[in-house]
This record gives sequence, C-alpha cells and structure tokens, in this order.
Amino acid sequence: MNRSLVLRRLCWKETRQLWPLIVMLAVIAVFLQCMLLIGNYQNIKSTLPIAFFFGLPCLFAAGVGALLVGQERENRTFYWMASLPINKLDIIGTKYFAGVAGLGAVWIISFLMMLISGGLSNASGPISVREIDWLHGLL
Amino acid sequence: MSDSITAQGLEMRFPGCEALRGIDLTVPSGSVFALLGENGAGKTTLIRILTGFQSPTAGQCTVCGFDPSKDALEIRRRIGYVSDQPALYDWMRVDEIGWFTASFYPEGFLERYGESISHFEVPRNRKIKHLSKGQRAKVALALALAHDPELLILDEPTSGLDPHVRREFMESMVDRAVTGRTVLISSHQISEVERVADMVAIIHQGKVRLMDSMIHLKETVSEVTISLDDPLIALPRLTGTIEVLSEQSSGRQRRMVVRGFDQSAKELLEARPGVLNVRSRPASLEEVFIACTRGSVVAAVDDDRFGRTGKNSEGLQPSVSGGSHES
Amino acid sequence: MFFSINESNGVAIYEQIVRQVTFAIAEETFKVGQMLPSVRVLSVQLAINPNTVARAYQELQVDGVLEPLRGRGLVVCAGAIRRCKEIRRSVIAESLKEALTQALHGGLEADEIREIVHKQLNKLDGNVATVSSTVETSS
Repeated sequence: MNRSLVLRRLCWKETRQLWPLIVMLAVIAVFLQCMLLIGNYQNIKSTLPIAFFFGLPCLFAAGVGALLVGQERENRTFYWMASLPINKLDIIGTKYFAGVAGLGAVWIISFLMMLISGGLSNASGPISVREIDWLHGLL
Repeated sequence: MSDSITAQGLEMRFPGCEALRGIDLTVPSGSVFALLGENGAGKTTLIRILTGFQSPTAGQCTVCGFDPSKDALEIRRRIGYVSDQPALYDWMRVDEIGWFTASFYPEGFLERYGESISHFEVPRNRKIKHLSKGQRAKVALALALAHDPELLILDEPTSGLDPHVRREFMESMVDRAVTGRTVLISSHQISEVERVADMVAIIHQGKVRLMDSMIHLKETVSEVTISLDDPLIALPRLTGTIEVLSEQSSGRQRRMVVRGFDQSAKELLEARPGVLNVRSRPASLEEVFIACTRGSVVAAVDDDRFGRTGKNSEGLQPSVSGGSHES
Repeated sequence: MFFSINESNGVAIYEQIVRQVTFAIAEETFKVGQMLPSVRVLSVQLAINPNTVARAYQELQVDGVLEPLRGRGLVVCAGAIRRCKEIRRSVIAESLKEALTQALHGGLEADEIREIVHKQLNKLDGNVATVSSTVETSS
C-alpha cells in the first residue's frame, strides 16, 4: 500500500464530502446573478460584487468545518477510520488540504462572480471603470 | 505460539468513574475468546484500549505482540474490528467502500472483500445508506476480514440483528478459528457464545470476575439446590478449591452456583441436620454469568490487587437475596 | 444428516454430537464405510467451535465407532452398528433408571410404577416412529 495511493484516496473522500457545499454555493451565486438580471436592485448593485467576493468564501469556510469534521464525528465514521491502519497525520493533512483547496476554488468562483456581477450592475461593458479602480485599491 | 492479547493490571479512570479497575487477561493465539459483561462493565473500554484508541490510566497490554500505546498502527494492520452498529460512509456504494479501504491494506484485499460480499449476498451497487441493518453489518464484517487479520475483534456486532445475520457471523467466527486465527468477541448473546467460544472471561464492575476455558467451566460449575427443613439453617461454609459464585434463598430452598462442587461437598451439606435434599446439575453459561454479575463485588481484605476477585472463597461474601426471588 | 444442538440443556455439546452420531449409526442412517463431514465443514454448518467437533470425533474413534481413512477423513467402522446399538441400549437404560429413581423418590410404590409403565408401553408400542432423535436429559 503505497503512500501516494493512500493520500489520493483520502483526498477523493474529502472532496466527495465537500462537493455538495461547493455546488450549493455555486447555485446560490447563479441564483443571485439571475435576481440581478431580473430585478431592479439599484441600492445593492454597487455592493453586490463585494458581497460575492467575500460572502461566498465566508459561507464556505463556515460550512467546511461542519462537513469535514463535525459530520464525521456525528456519524461516527471518524471512529471507523480510526480503526483502520492509517496514519492520523495523513487523515488530518488531507482534510486540511481539501479544505484549503476548496476554499481556493471558491475564491476563484467568487472572483469570477464579482466580475460578472460588476459588469451586470453597469450597462457599459463587462467590467466597469469603477470596479477596476476598486480592484486597484485592493492590490 | 505467542498469545494474541495479554493484559496486566489495566485500569481506566474517567472523571467520576472507574471503568476498569485492574484487568488481567490472556487471549491465546488461535482461540475464540468471549468477553461477557453487563452494559457498562467495561468491555468496550477494554477493547478501545486494546485497539490503541484510548490509553489506560495504569497497566500494560500487548496485542499481536505490540504495545497499543506505541505501535497502534502496526496493531491495526493485523486486526479486523467490527463494532455495534458500524459507522460507514453512507454515501459510498458497497463496492466503493471496498475500493476505498483496499488502499490502506496490501494486495488481495479487494478480491477477498468481493468474495465475502458475494457470499453474504449484499448488492454491490447500492449505497450504504440504502442497506438494511443486517447488510451493513455484513459489509463491516467483510471489510474487517478482507485483509485476513490474525485477530478479529467483534464488539457486540450482532445486537439487534436477525437470526440469519447472527448465524453468518457465527459461521465466520468458526471459519476463522478453523484456520487458526484468533477471535475476540464481546457479546450479550450468551447462547451463541456457548457454541463458538473456547474461552470465556466475565467482566463485572471493571474487573475480571472469572476466566476459564468453556469446557472446564461447564465441567466444574454447577447449580446446587438445597431443600431445608427450616429456612434459617446456617449451612457449612464450602472452602478449599470450592468457590461459591452466588447464593440465593427462597422459602425452604437455597440455590447456589458453585465452582468445584464435588461429592465430598455434597456429603458435607447432606450431613448437616435439617438438610432434606441436595441436588446439583451443570450450570448453563447464562446462569454462570448471572451468578458472577449479581450484586456488587465486595472488596475483601485479601482481594488480589491485580487479579480476579474471590478466587479463594474466603474473600468473597456470597450475596444472599431473600424473598420469593427464584432464578 | 441433521444434528440438533442445544447449548444450554446441561449436556456438553460434544457429548450431544457423539450421542447423535451413535444413534444415527444404530439406526443405519449412517452406513458402514460412509465418511463423516470434516471438522471444518461440520463446525461451520452447526456454528460451533471446531475443537468441540474434534473432541466428539476423537471420542467416537476411541469408542471404536469411527476410524480414519488414510488422511481423507473419518469413516464408520465395520461392526460399529452393533457397538452403537449396545451404546444406545445402555443410554436408554440409564434414562429409564433415572425416571424410575425419580418415581421411587417421589413416593410411588413399585407396583404402581409397573402399572404406569405397562399402560404407557401398550399405548406407545407401534405408534412411535423411530427417527434419529435427540436425547434430552431428564430435568
């Protein structure tokens, strides 16, 4: 049983567990985008891009703990894993890695959402001057 | 052949509770060893210590020659473990969980797992959350057996399962014994244990109350019923190699579960004036269990610090419960 | 052949196997030269410890009922039928002795007992099918 196989399988498991959360966040993002298109939300159109950029990753970070650790503890799968010949560090490491990778993925998605929503909130072009200035302000 | 499990003086103290108060036991290699005890007697705590999940507050033990506090990983490579209501990843399919678990074990796991699953007739493509309780237990057993472990630990694996599934578990246990592997089973199904176990240890209130081979136990423990003229007669104390495990009275009868009851003891009792009749018959394992776990163990002065209590009957006060309580 | 094992009736399991095999041979359910199931097969079939089966087979060999066949298994000896019939006879005699002892101990007179036995025998003779039966110990 080689170590890379062990790590790959553990990552597969963590990813499978995280997947529902990522999908749910993507659905929320798409839903909000649609709301923007349909409705007239002048008062929040300026803040929505920022909300996306910070909001989605926050939601993800809030959920990842519950999914990767809390759920396992509650379902006692934690204990079953503990009875297998797996190094504790490998289990913890892959969970951490999956969490960080997931968070990175959500940052990327939310950045894209921000760009798109920034574009939608202004009639002129996909990315408006204001958003670019704001970004410059960040970096 | 070296022993599968050894334990000396194992103690486990939780805040406000002493789960184990000095466990000594030896599980010989190749045997089917049954651990009996009431709920809360400490069986699961003991198993957790043996699998390296918990560290004892005192004492040592070895499993397959390794110390669980140092080499838990080595131990887990060599053992299979099935618990009560095993927790598996519900979202995985039966074949997926086999594939997943196979990555942690050497070659051959997946093949053997597949054979077990076919034998148990569990549908491969179904998600575990859609399996019945019995099927889940069988999957857990298949996972535990697939790496051909030298020691199989079963912690009440068949509680709440139907007789078919219980039978499958028993057949698996017997099959392991036939191939010379060791099985440690903690169970409340005393009749099953009576059939498959070579050795039995009864744990009561954190200590090993009795440990013996099944054959020897059945040959030496009897239920003795004494009919008396007068219910208040004091009977002669049975000493020496004779151990009274429990004593009860009901009207003009006394019933004792005794270890080592022989002809001379019978004659001694019959000789006492007022004793009308002394009858003895071999005690069933359930009767032995009830006798060993009735009431609290009185910590006598000559209570062996790391051993079983009441080995010499001087130390044990037999608990006498009067009234119409018939066993 | 079907065995019927009761683990808690006070008779040792290996003893029950010995007795049932003996009775089966006495009734010629097992023929001379017939091979018995191996320890492994029988112990799994009955879900009992293999050492128990081994002990039963050992005793049957000592009794001269079974003999090993060149590493292939155990077979019924020639002359086993007669021996088993003798054993069956003595087991039944012992059962009757226990029943009679109980009757006498309970206060029945010898003549009363004879009458009961006579009546029962008349009722039962010819109406009892001979099957490979389990022998219950009289409680």
